[in-house]
Amino acid sequence: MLDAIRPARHDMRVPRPESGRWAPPHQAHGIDDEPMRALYAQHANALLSFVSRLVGGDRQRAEDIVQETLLRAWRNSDKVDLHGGKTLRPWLITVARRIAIDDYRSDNARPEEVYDVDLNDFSTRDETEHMVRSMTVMEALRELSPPHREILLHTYFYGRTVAQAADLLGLPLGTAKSRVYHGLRALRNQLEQRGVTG
Amino acid sequence: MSGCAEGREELASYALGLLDEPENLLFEAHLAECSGCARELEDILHTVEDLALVARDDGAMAELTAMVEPHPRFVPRESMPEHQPGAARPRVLRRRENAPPSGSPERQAALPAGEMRPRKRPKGSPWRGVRPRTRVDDSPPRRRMPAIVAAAAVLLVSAGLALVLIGPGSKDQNAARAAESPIASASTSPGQRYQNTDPRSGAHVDLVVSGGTFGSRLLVTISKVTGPRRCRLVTVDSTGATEVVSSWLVPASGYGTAANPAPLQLQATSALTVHQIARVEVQHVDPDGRLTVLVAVPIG
Repeated sequence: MLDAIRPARHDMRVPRPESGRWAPPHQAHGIDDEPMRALYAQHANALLSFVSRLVGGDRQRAEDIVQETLLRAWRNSDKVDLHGGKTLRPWLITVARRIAIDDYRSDNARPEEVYDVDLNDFSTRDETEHMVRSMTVMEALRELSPPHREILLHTYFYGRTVAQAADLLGLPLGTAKSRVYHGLRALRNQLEQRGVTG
Repeated sequence: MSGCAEGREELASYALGLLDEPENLLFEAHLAECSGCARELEDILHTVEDLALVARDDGAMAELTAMVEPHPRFVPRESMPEHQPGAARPRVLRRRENAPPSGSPERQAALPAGEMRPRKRPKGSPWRGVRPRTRVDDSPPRRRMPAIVAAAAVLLVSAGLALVLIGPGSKDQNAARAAESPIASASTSPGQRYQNTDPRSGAHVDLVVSGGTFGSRLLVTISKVTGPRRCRLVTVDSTGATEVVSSWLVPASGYGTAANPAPLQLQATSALTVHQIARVEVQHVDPDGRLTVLVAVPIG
């Protein structure tokens, strides 16, 4: 079954500099210095404050996500206009958001350390809220048609690519892709009916 | 539904992280040129965020797996090795909202903590509004609990113990939740909640147990404990083996008492997995080292 595991998706993470100073990761990867530096200068701070909120103020995680986002922009530089500040910003925000969500899903490898938290102010609000919200999403998933539920389980929840899931379920690739899309949309509608609009 | 016809099926797979790297880059290039797809992606990412919560909730995953017809070539996610090498990077400190160490220049460089996620809960409750409740006749019908929770409830009820699971929040809470990003500040599955009051000591424990690959995390709120005394928090597995995960001194005024209404809230981690923990105990340690159980909470 090992061969069915999908390949790593985030292969572009760059080690943080030892000094802890946050700088473009240029030399290490043979990346052309100048455009990357310009990207950082123009977007890093705004992106960082956006991503920081997404990840609950975890600065290091936010920096990693911003770094990966800017690298993706750089990698797409033939298509993405690196100098078009106005058009590039929304692209960066959306791409950063997707990375942050995906990162969240797959990271449970370490206990959360909260030793700088004032115990009197500490609350388990996040955990209980997450649990309640997860229950609401489960309700919505129960209302999906079986094919929609199945494709989401076999792709997203079990970490397979669409092609792997299509193969497993004996579906043409196009059908599987279409089901992923319509399944996700149907779930969105179910959640909207439950007042969860994000 | 504003995505373009060509892009939108790829869009869902991209949002869910189901594409390989070349496909990701291709879609991101398309994204830069197609405002319809950009809008729809923005929208659908909310739902992906919600799915991420389910993916990290062991109970929900168990139920979801049971809902789908088993397949001969079926491998649950847990049994697969990490597919993302970057995911386990070391994290020195995981900070929570509103809790920057004062004066830290690094924290000041980030957003002011107060602006990150404004408090929306009334103060004064340790659970900030999501209160455990017992079932009352005029409450809305209880949703079907995940099988694992239902099993725990049956066990506990038959043992004559009180188990209260949180129900759906009020409308206001739902609205408040919807306004917040669910991906903020947690690194474990959402977990299950348990509570119990010891009839003799009167001590009360409210507990959330969540699992991670490191074992489990316990979020504990303790009240109706008088002081002064020495206490410890212990996990007990099914063989009766114990592990002390925390210890502390209770002040003379106690916790959650008339003299000191504030409960004690603490967090501990255990190398035991959620399924290995049979119960969690708060024990009193007398000056000679003898132990008395103040309150025990069975874990389903």
